[in-house]
Amino acid sequence: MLANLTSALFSFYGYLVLVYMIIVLVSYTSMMLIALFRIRKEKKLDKYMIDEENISFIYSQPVSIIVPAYNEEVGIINSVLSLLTLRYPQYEVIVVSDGSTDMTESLVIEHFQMKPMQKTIRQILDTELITGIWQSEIHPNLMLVKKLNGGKADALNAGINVSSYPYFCSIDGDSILDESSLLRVMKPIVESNKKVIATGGNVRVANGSDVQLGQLTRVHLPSETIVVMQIVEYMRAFLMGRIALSRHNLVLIISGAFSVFSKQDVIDVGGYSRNTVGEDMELVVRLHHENRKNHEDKEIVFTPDPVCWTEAPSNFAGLRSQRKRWHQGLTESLWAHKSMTLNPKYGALGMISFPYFIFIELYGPIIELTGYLYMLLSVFMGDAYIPFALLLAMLFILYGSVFSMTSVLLEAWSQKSYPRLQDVTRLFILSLSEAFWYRPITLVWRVEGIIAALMGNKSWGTIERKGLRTEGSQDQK
Amino acid sequence: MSPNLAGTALGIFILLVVLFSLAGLLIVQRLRTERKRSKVQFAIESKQKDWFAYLIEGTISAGGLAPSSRVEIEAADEVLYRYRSNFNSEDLHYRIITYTEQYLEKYYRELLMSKTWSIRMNGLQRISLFNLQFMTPEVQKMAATGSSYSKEEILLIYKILASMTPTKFVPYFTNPAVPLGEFDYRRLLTSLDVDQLILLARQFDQLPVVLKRVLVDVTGSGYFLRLLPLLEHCLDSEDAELRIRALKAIALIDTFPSTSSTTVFVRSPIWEERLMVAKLYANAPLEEAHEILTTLLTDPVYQVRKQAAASLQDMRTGKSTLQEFIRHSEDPYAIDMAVEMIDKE
Repeated sequence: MLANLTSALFSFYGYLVLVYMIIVLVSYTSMMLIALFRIRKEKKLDKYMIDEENISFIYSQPVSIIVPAYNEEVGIINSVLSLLTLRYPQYEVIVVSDGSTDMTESLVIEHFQMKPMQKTIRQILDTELITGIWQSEIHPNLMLVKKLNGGKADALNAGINVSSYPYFCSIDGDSILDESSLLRVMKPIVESNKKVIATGGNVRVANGSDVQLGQLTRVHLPSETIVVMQIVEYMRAFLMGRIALSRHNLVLIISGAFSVFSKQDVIDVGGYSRNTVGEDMELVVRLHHENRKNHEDKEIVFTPDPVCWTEAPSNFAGLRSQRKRWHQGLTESLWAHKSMTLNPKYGALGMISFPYFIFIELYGPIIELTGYLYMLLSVFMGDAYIPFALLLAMLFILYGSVFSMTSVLLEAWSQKSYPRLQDVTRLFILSLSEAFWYRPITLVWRVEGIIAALMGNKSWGTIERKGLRTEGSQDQK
Repeated sequence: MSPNLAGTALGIFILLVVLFSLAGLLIVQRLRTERKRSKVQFAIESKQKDWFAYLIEGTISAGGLAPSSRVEIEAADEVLYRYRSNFNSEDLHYRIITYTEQYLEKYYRELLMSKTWSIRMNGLQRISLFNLQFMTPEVQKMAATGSSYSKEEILLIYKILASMTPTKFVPYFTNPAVPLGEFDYRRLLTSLDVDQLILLARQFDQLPVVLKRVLVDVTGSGYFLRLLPLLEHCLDSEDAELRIRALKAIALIDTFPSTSSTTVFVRSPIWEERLMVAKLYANAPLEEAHEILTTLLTDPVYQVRKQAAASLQDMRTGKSTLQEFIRHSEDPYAIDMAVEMIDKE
């Protein structure tokens, strides 16, 4: 009887995973089709002509670019240089050193010839103490804010307090923007007559590419397979997931590495939260929450055009730390706003977006991981279970690899970030392998993130920064 | 093997075959695109001296550059775009229009009639950039069809028609085919000249509210002094937003209306009006400005204090006024602001 019960439970769980995978596949297929139509619509558009018209159009909104930096000595100069060469009518750059203990502050001060300045700061959001503000003598729109350590959210809030403009752009201290990125990420906000209160841009992996004075001069695939797999993952997440969700104002995540917000709307909801490691997502969810609560028609969108290049972890330890933190942040953000789930008061956000993020993005790793275990156990449970396990395995391949391969093709067809055919081919072939090794590993880390959230862990972990390859450097082949 | 398993395996196999086929097609397409790109580039480079001679020097006629294939048509379009983007002269514009009218009219018409949105947009962008008057009838036909086009297209169409038919654009702006917001009207109005703005101003009271506000904004940012009476008229409006923008626009034009029409805003319950007055009084006669701005320096709203300090700073005796204020004031926030302003110098 016990054996029958075990067998029944085992079968039941198998079918549960099967149904789950089918739901996930249908969701992803829908998102892929939406993304395909959007990309197809704009594929042949001459974006440079539109940029030229927008840059000469005097009514672009001024933006404060806030760069929270903690021990970013490796990449901060390139990052700031890329920001100073942006094609945008009016903006300021505020580097917020969050109690850095390395050379971040001195490098920035020396490189950009900065001097201390007197500035009245409105303490709109509570932050750790600001110990000094410096301004560049050669780039008057560049400031450095030194403050006591309080975390990324705290640094961003300090930047908001110091900023002068109605919009702010949050960008990581090791990231590089294309010269037209700010123009393009602001486009939805400006064109929507301020209905759009936040936008996120596309984040791409810069590892392996050549950087010269803060500009990406040539895009290469890196040699490390683990980084190439991350490129595939980013393509999938950004090209498929976010385009589709953005179409219907259902985006719950816009990357903290590159996003623009309406300052007043962020202040109205209390700024970034210091109680989570996923402060970017939590803010977006809170903005949506307020928006729906107040019956306002504001939108948060993702726009695939503007690109931010960032350094991805190049070893397993760093990647593990990052993925664990991301999933922990996802767990914390969704838990903090759990009242929105399946709540018709929040419209499609509560009835579609939240369930999607909870059941597919949040619980997905648990179910997938147990699915993999199920397949392994089936070998010991008897021949009767093996066909079913093989069926599941095939669905996992479909989910894990086929969608990634499709994303690579979509990217190659539309954005052409990797113009060399050998790069596209390598991406395509490696994406086929995703379900067999990369995805299972990341699933384990994501589950660790859920556990960390349940245990209230607030640590960010560490990711080794190597910096991006500069043209003419010795490691260039 | 069970039917389910076989079916799934077959499905996945077919999917993989499709994906690999798509990848193959993509490679072929990419190679074709690269080959075509190379041909267009070659066509451009092989005649670059002739293009320079025609467009800049005017030493050869357009006939010498007549395109004989689709590749050459696209090459010509690319060349004209590059020259127009980088150079600016009456002769260049004239030669571009002459050439396009002779050889590229059919090409641009095809772009406008394309089923693909992005290609139509590119066509409209070209017409706008090159100011192709001969395409006006085509663009007017598109405007007449109106709602079958996207908002981005409608905006471009109206912008083109405002440029091509400078006295007949008003109905498009007052009764557009799609609802237009502030940003949309700004894009349209910033491409108008002052005579066209005056045409709109003559019908000011009949304009949609959004268009009124944008017209006021553009008047200020464009320094259109001839429209100052319109701005002064708006100071009496019941629409607070319109009043605020009118004050801002007057400040931008670096002029100062009569004191009586502005002092009423110094004690306004709307802080944005006080802010704009602080901005405006930077242009006022010294004695009046001194009193009003030092009053506004103690305003409860931060932005108003900041603007008042900035306006004082810009005045001839501003620094001494601020220093005097710091010595005698008991308002710590106002003092902070004054110190920051002096320190900025």
